[in-house]
Amino acid sequence: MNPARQQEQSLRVTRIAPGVLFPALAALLLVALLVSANVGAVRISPVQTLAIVARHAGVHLDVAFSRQQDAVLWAIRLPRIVMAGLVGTGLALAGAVLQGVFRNPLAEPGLIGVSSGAALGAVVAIIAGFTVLGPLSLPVAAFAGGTVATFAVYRFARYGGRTEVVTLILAGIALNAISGAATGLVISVANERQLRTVVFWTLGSLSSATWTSVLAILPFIAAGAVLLPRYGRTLNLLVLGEREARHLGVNTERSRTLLIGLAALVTGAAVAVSGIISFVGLVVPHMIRLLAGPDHRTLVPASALAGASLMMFADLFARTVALPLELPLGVVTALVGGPFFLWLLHRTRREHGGWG
Amino acid sequence: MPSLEARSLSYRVGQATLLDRVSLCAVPGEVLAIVGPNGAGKSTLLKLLSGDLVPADGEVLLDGQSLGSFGTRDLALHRAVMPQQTLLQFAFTAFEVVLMGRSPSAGSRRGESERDYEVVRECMGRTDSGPLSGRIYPTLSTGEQQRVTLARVLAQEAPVLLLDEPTASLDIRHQELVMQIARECALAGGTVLAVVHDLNLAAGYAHRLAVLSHGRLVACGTPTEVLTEALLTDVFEHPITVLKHPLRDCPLVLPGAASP
Repeated sequence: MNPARQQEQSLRVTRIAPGVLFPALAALLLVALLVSANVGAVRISPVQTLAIVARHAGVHLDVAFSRQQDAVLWAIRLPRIVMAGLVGTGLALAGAVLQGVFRNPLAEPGLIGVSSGAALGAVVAIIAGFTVLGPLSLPVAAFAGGTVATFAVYRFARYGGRTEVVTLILAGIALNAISGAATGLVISVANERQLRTVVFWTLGSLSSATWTSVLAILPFIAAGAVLLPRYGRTLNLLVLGEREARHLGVNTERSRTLLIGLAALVTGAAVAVSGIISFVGLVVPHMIRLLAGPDHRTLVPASALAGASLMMFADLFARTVALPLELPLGVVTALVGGPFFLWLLHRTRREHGGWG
Repeated sequence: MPSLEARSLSYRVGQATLLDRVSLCAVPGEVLAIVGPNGAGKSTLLKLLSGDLVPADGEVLLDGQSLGSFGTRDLALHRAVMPQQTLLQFAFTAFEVVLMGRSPSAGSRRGESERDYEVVRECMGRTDSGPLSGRIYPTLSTGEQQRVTLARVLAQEAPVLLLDEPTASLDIRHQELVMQIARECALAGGTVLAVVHDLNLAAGYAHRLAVLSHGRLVACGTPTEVLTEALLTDVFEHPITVLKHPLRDCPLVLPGAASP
């Protein structure tokens, strides 16, 4: 491309207006939901899907479906689809918010130690045989691990009532390394069966989703989805710089603590039930920025919607592409997300000369 | 219209005293330039005045009230700060960046009004950044970014302006433009305090100059009072000649005594 044309390209800004973006994303979510419900060992048409859901809500529609279809959709497929939506929403929300808070497009939820802390919590629970809380034992242990790790990172970065972002990121790196090492140490004493559970968990999967686990993480994801989009303008100003944000009237210390805390809760809840699912939190906000620009008032809610659809499609792919085998979800997201991210890096270098 | 006063401000880091009992008062209707050699404490003074740093001793008064008694947003409605440079990692357009200057008056909830857009367009026009409006901020040159940042600061419509080297990366035409804007703000009743490196810009546009050296205020007065050969040669530890500007009613500062 010649320089003049390149210049012209960087001058032109094409963005999808929120009035178009949000209906499109909502439609995509509906399509993701219906296609996911439809495809599998037992086929269930969109109309049947609606009828089965209506039946469970106490409304009888005049559509024929078998008892097997009802059981498969209601007890297995639907909780899993809803779980995919919640996990995708949580990870994408946390990614969008943390990239803003850290003023860094490469930030992702794992940066603040929450994922590796959760992994450590889960692995310890598996190997110590922690089952007091029944099916929620593993998620609760993972959530606790993630929360403790984030809190430790945050404590380290706080000095004299101020938090320094660079220290926070470096402390996150250190804590990730420590959690990783501790996880390895615990794994080394595991038996064959425990080891398989650990590997399964760390590769990420939604196959154990039930309505109980859906209800367990719903409050956390819902809190994030309701509260985080309200901080769109604050995030825009934080991206401008910490001093700049303060000069423009933002209580930076308080906003940042709140935003990181909420992002950690949401990520912790998602990771607790799904295991480690990489690249969703990193990539989804970038896709939205590409389409609609960097304004967080659009970016945060749009990432939540897009994350849900993307995760539903990823999980659909993971459970159907190699039937009767099921691929680990974290592997699918990384296999698709990784190359996409590389393409994004390449495109950004070519058109804007990179991020630096 | 509020004044901004420093009362015996001191600031220390470890054993080093960066600022030593500096008192000065910027009043509405004037441009007060802070000048001095590198490391004299100019930026430290500006950070204390803007509330970024808390003084070890002394206090800052905005409109007669202690800076600490203002809430963050309240403060943003009273004073705007132009940093030396604002780096941005995300592809906001110049227009969107200037629009962020409207945040304090808009509050956190409501969207932008037609008046916000009008103010933004006007401020971009004044700083000659109108044509940059739709450009992506991180792709602009440093000088262009500086003009956009000034537009953002003006869009805040605060009566007190603190400018940290507002002309550092600008060409001569835009240097003059920016200082002219500072003067217009003052004439409209604003209080303008600017750290200025170029002594001739300070001489031409500031009503008063405060000279800092080794953390102390060594002189404060009109350009003619302050910009003397003896004082400048002493403060900058370099021979300096002061002439009369051939066209303007102000001193003209030149380096060196005779030819080197």
